[in-house]
Amino acid sequence: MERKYTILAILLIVLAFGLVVLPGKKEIRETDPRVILASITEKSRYLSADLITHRIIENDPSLMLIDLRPADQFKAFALPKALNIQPDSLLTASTLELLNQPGKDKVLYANSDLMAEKAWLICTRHSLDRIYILKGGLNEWYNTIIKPGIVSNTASTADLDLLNFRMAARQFFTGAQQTPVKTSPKKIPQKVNIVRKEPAAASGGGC
Amino acid sequence: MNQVNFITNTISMNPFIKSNKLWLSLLGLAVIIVLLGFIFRPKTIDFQLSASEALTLINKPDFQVSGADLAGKQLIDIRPSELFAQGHPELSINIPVRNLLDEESIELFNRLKDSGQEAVLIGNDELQTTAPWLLLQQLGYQNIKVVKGGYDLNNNFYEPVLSSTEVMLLDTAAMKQVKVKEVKTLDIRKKMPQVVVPVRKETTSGGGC
Repeated sequence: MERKYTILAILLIVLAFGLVVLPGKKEIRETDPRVILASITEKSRYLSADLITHRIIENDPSLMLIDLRPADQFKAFALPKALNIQPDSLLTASTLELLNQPGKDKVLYANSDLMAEKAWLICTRHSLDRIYILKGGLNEWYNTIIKPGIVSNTASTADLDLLNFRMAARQFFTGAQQTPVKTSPKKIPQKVNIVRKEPAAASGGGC
Repeated sequence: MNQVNFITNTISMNPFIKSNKLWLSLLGLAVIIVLLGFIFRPKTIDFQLSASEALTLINKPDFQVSGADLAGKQLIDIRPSELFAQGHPELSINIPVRNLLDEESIELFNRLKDSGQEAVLIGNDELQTTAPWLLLQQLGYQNIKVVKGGYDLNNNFYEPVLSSTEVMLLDTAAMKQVKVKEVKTLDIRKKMPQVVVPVRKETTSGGGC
């Protein structure tokens, strides 16, 4: 009978050894580096300035803008309803709680997209989902939405619609009066005098 | 042959084994399971830096190397192989981003790390190299840096005009809220000049019978 207990004890020791050999479970659920690398190759994390602007104007409740710039720049200008989070406090309990909100698209931005890219990687390691980046950052947003563009005469209807949207968005953000769309210089159509030719032959008639 | 028979006889004759067959079978099974689990365990790449250590890398200032300062460094071109084939920096090797954590790549990174040689990631621009660099840093490859700017299609290194891409370029004065009267959005398509097509009257042939 005692021997049975001995065997059972050995069995438990073997199984315990198995637990030691198996990879340990980490406290924080982290994404596997290979999965992160696969995410890096995908470009779906970048959202364009036009798309973000559209969602801001529409007052999209699922949009959460995270401004990663220093506080003084954030005070000078930030996108509406953006939250200012410093990159070094990305992993504090309160920030993680904020970034873990379900049903929200968290869009990271700074002046360019490099800082946001790094912050995105840290968030992805922490298995935070629905994290996006404003493509080109606030500088590109400014150049796209606030600076008026020039449209060529051959612009398609889609291009013209996009430009009109940007003009309206510019008005939304700055309150500036709208200026007409600049188009590249074009030739004024010349008046063409239509000279009607007199019938060459007299009607004559008769047999 | 005699030895095998001896062992078989010992096992079958041993009263201990005979009376504890079930327990011994379980023990044997457990040993086999543990061994198989150990042999076929998945090969994982583990983070060498903790999350908080990784966070400090975000503001690391000296992670970029100028394109003019690459002598003695192992250049790793992470652009797609098609672009690499069109032209690449001298003495560089091509490891496209998606292959950076392949076994051969990891072996190379380990070799470079062990020999203390610095490696530099080269891409189309800084945006292409930043995320792979930060990932490799977290995996313990502190000897890897990125080239400042990128490598263009004319086979030249270029550097960004600004000292840092994180400089704020927008005019904050222009962004002040000013209330103005509602302005109608312009639709320039409506103002397109209309084309008038003159309709010529057909000349009558005149009289005749």
